[in-house]
Amino acid sequence: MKLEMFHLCPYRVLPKDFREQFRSVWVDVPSHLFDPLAAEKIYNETLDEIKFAAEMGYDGICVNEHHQNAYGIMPSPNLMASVMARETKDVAIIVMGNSIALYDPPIRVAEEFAMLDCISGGRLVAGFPTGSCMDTAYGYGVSPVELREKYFEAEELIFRAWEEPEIFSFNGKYTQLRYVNIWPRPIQKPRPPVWVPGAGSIETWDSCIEKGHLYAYLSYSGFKRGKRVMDGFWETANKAGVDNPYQAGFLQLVCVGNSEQELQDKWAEHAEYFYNKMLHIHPGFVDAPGYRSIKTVEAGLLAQTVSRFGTPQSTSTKTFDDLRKDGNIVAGTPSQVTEQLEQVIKDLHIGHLMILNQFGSAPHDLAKENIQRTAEQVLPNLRHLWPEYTDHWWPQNAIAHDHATSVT
Amino acid sequence: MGTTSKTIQIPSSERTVEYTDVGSGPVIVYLHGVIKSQTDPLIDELSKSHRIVAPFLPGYGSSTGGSGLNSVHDAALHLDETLDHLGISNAVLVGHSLGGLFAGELAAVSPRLFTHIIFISSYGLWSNDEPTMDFFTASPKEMSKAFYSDSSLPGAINLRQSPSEEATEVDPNTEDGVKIIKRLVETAKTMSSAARYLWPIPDRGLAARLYRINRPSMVIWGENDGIIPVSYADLFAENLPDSEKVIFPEAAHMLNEEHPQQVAHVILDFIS
Repeated sequence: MKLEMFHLCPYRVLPKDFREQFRSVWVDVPSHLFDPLAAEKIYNETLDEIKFAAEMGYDGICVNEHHQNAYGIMPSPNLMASVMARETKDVAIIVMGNSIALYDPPIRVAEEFAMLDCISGGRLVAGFPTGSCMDTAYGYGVSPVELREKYFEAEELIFRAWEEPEIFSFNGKYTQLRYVNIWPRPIQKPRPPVWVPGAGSIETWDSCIEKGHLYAYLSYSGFKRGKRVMDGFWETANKAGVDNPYQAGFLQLVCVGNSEQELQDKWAEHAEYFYNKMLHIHPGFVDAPGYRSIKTVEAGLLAQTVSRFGTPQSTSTKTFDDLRKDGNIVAGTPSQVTEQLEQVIKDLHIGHLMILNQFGSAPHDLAKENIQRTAEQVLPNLRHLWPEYTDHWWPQNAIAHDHATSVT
Repeated sequence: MGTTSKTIQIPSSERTVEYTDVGSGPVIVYLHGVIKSQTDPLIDELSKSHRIVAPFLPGYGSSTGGSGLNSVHDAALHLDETLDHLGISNAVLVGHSLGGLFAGELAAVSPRLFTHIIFISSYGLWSNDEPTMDFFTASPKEMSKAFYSDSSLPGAINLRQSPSEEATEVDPNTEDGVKIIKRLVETAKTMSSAARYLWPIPDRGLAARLYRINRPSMVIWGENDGIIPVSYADLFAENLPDSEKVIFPEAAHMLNEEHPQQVAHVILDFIS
């Protein structure tokens, strides 16, 4: 079992009445709320927390890309990953990822990921998300009906740019290049492992299975509702004869405390900040026409899209207790958290658990305490899971604490 | 007049076109809007004295859409082939809303096919000072208000009651769920077809081509159009070589449903 620390790098200082005053944390979140000096602190503390997680014994660290929002202020996760490639020595650098349909030409991603793989000495995981509707259709103006076609064309180009030994021409519908010949090229051959973060689109399951990518369901609706999506994925996978849990990942918010009182005192306001402010998204930005395919709409998977990005504005705010009961957050003593996570891992049949130890407005010291407690008192008791499977989705030169993977 | 629609396949492109063909007399080609009216009272009015040929736009009904018709030019050529296949020339061309964008592109490509061009509340131009409404981000209630000035019209009520606003969980194993999913699928199909030509800004450069429409043209707008502001009527008029303009007070975007008789009267007067 692999355990990775995921950091969203949230903007932690939104006003108390943000939800009442403004309609969305994404796309049209007012720019006057952004304080660059606050961001200086947030970015640097985020980098410190990620480095700390690596030192504490996490297998990998994850960063991701979002635009025009206060939910996660890393429009370029590669900048953060680049710092981490230097600052850490052995963990997997998991960029979750670059929304490849947004780059013109997409070989920019092939180049930057190759740089990261070289700087890190072959520790890169290349994440290829379709990208949220807010980021792609609204933030970057990509037509939602063209997004997936553009994505698959970009993927083909990037793989060929990494793998083909000779210069080639690429005559695509969205990208035309007379000479494709990227420098540098990745250390990992034929290419870094590809992880695809998804939100429950049927096409993404099909494509991951067909191409052998890892599928990561990044949901904040918790493991209870996440099961519906993961069951759908495994149904598709099983039909193709795939059952290796290492081909799937899941994201979970976790906080570890010594008592109920401590958890409540330390975490309630930050958990509520996350769910009530960070996921406060204008419903009109969540699901542009054509963003989800007709096939996905037909399957009645509306709920996943809405729930992935939290509650629509019409619903009431959530309390820490609600969030724990619904499985959005796993919180408890080390043994309670271990037990619950083991259940999540087995129920969802996942070999990669991405843990959010910092979320919402949680300050630096609290985040570090949580990272340390999780790493020291929870992770060691989960690593033994899935001994019968091999992880084929791990970077060649990253450390692996589970015994299922041999380190080169 | 959805009930009288026919479906053909164009042999050269193998694309399917659903279209309404009703009435007799001189031909009016009619291109519908973003929201295709279930029954279109303007077609009813015009068909009293004319033959109305109204193709469903790409992706609407059973008409072929999709990525093969991504650009407005591909779509305009496809409409040209459609009319060619149906043997239509020397016709009046009427375009409403999204259909107006295609009317502009088609008439710019093939002005010789038409005697008159009529733009009703049409897409195709852009003004930074007065952007068109981004209805893709609006709730069904907000959309209904922007499209219609008369909230009691059946179309306005239908739009307001779209399930997408309330539904957060749909169970495909229940009768209600199946109904909701059917409606959501229909909306997803038509709205994504519209998005193909309107995203992220509904401007594909038509302004630079309107000069080619050297035929008498008319620009008709609703004064309270909440989707495309009435000032766009002037933009069209300024860019067309030979046009006149009619503004309807107390009307929004769906002039075809709000004032069908008056709009038909103005059109028939203009082309006679």
